[in-house]
Amino acid sequence: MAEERKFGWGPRQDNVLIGKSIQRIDGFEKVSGRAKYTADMNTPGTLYAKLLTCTHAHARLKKLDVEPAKKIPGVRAVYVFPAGDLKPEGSGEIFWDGTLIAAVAADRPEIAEDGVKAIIAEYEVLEHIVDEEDLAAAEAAKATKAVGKNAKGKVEDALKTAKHVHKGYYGVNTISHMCLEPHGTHCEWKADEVLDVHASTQNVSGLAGQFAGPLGIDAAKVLVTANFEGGGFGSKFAADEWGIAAAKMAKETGKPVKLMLDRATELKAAGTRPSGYIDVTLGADETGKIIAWDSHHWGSGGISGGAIPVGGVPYVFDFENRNRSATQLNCNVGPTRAWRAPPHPQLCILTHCAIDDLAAKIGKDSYDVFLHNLEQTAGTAPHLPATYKAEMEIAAKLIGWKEKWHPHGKDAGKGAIKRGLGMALHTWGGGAGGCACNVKIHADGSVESFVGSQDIGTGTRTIIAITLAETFGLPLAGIKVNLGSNKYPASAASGGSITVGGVSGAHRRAAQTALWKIFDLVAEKYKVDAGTLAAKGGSIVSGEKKICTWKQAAMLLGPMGLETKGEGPAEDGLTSSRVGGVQMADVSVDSETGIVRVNKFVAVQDCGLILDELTAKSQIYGGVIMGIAYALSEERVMDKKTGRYINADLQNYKLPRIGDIGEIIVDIYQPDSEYNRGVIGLGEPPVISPGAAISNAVANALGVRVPVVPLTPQRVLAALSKKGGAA
Amino acid sequence: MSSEMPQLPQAERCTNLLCKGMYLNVGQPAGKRVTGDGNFWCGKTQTIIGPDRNFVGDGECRHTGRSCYEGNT
Repeated sequence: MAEERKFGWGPRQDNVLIGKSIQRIDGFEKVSGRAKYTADMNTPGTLYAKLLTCTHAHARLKKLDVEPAKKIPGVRAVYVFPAGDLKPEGSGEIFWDGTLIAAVAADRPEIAEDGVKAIIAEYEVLEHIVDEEDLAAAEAAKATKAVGKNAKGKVEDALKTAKHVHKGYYGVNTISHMCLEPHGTHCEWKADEVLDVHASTQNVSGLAGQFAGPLGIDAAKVLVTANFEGGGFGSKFAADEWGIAAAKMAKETGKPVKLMLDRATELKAAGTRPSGYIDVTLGADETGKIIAWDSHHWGSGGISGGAIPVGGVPYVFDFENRNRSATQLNCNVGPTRAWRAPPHPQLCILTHCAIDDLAAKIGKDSYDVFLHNLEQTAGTAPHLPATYKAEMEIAAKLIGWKEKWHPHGKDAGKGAIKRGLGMALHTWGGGAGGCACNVKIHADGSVESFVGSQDIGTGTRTIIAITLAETFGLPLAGIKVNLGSNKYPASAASGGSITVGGVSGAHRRAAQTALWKIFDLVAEKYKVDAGTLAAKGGSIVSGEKKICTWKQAAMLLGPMGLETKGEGPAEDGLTSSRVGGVQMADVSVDSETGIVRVNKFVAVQDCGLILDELTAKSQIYGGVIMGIAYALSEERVMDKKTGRYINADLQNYKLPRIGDIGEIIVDIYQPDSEYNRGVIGLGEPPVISPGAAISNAVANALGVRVPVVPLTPQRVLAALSKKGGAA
Repeated sequence: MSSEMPQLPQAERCTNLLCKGMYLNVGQPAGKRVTGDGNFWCGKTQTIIGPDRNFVGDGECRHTGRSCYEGNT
């Protein structure tokens, strides 16, 4: 009998696949167009649905006549959303531009659009408030709600004794998720009243009940499929009212209905990241140690909540004396949803820009002030100060901090282009999510797994295949991964960077359980000690001696093969949580045009054990690119007069192009101590620091703070003007 | 931060109140469950406005005074 068997990862040096740079197993399908997203679903007879949305920020619907739409040839169904339902009398209040009023399903998309145009909707326009930054105006309009305050220590006393005091104002505007595949579903009713839903979702295992309730059917009769997804970023956990609309219109017509949001509605109604603004006072002693924090922040997550909570500032750090309070603005804007690392990017900006300005006021290098205060991050996690210190040293070398840094506004260059450096820190949990999976070893040695998780573009299929192939000593091609169906064992939704830990842990447990059974069979047949066996290179070996091939071992399972179940999370060392991360930016700012360019961006990131270096680095590159977007150009622009979202399209909602990105250097911090922690999620962390790091770099270049992110040319020039002209 | 959201007994909430955290908690021990990011929606309407035309929320959907409230009893 083998020695006590425990789940775990193998010695780092023995890994054949884990930790290597491996291309995605579904990469060819994606780049060739063979991968079918929900938006690609067009089963025979599919009807196409288009939406009528409200064009006012605040209004009361007085009349809705959908009959003209129904008379158009080719229109098969018209659905009225709850906001368009005028019963009971007195209802019909609309709270944001983009509210869904009605949907039209037709034989062709253009007929559906004609149907939408034919609908008659009349509104009584009401007063609105869409300025999320103007706290005083919101208070005057009674559109605010205190969301909490708390304090510790003696802030007033500490500020009186502080050697250095800095007061600042910082902010970050609302952005939309901008998923390139919009939210949407393809719904088709099958035999026995089974609803077949293809959804662009982060929540395959959690959608059936959300469809079943509103439709009045059993959740067991809902089949949810999501083979590929074109981005979710935290906004795709619900069935959503448009999903229910598609299902109901499919039921009514007896035909499949596809309803994907148009771009404007996607940006207006399918989720945003809330804004945040802060008035803050910091105090430091003569060494630069921060001894006091006093802040009030505000912002809006829409009309009814979702603003940044009071906890969270100061971000990563906490100080001995700290007051904080927060106010929510109830604005007539589309509702917020979780946006990648909620709400850490905003908290990072609100905190680390203030620390950077404090450092400038003291006359110290920002790097040194962050370094000097690292011990005050230990409250987040005891290991973080050491991790940050190590990562700061790496990042500083990669960007040339000590060689390039200069005091704020002291770039020696004489022209209009000013160069500067900035940095920020971040943290995230990323512990393993709940996951159940089945791993099946067929008698011919082929292996497949089944899991009700989803690959939201992060490489989940590849991670699972690597985990199983490494465990069984097989090539990746020997593994078939089945995911994206709610009929597979349930797995948590993909949010909060919990998926990689969840699926890898569960699959490793299932695979090791199966392998141990196989080892016992091999040991019995070949009269060897099961405790000496290992699976390597397609064989079962004992030390250097080959005992049998993998296929021969699989045949010992009999014609039915073997199926094992894996579950998690578990406290067995396969996964862990809580990462740090340090990012530094090198920017050039044209002080005449206000244009900011990122010359170089360094991201140093820990995340425990890396399963696939390529997908891990891809996550970091992607996070940094999203970060550069919201740092420099990306924002929701609301027209104060009309209350409308005026840049809700891919032309005017400014995402960066390739030339706007600059050089990105990614360095994964993975000493053995990190490897031994096990797998930790990575999706969120790298998107947190770019806003603060770039803002700090611009302040370093110009010698003036551009207080609100994104750092558009207009805001840069306004800040310079306030300072008194070009830097 | 999601992990800092208050943890509330499920029974107090309307059974139709949903949030992201509920879909992340599957398989998690009780002490590690989170309520999510504070963004709630109604499972019946699939929006942030409930069947009674009022906004949904962790505070708003925990009492029987609301006409659409459905408890787990």
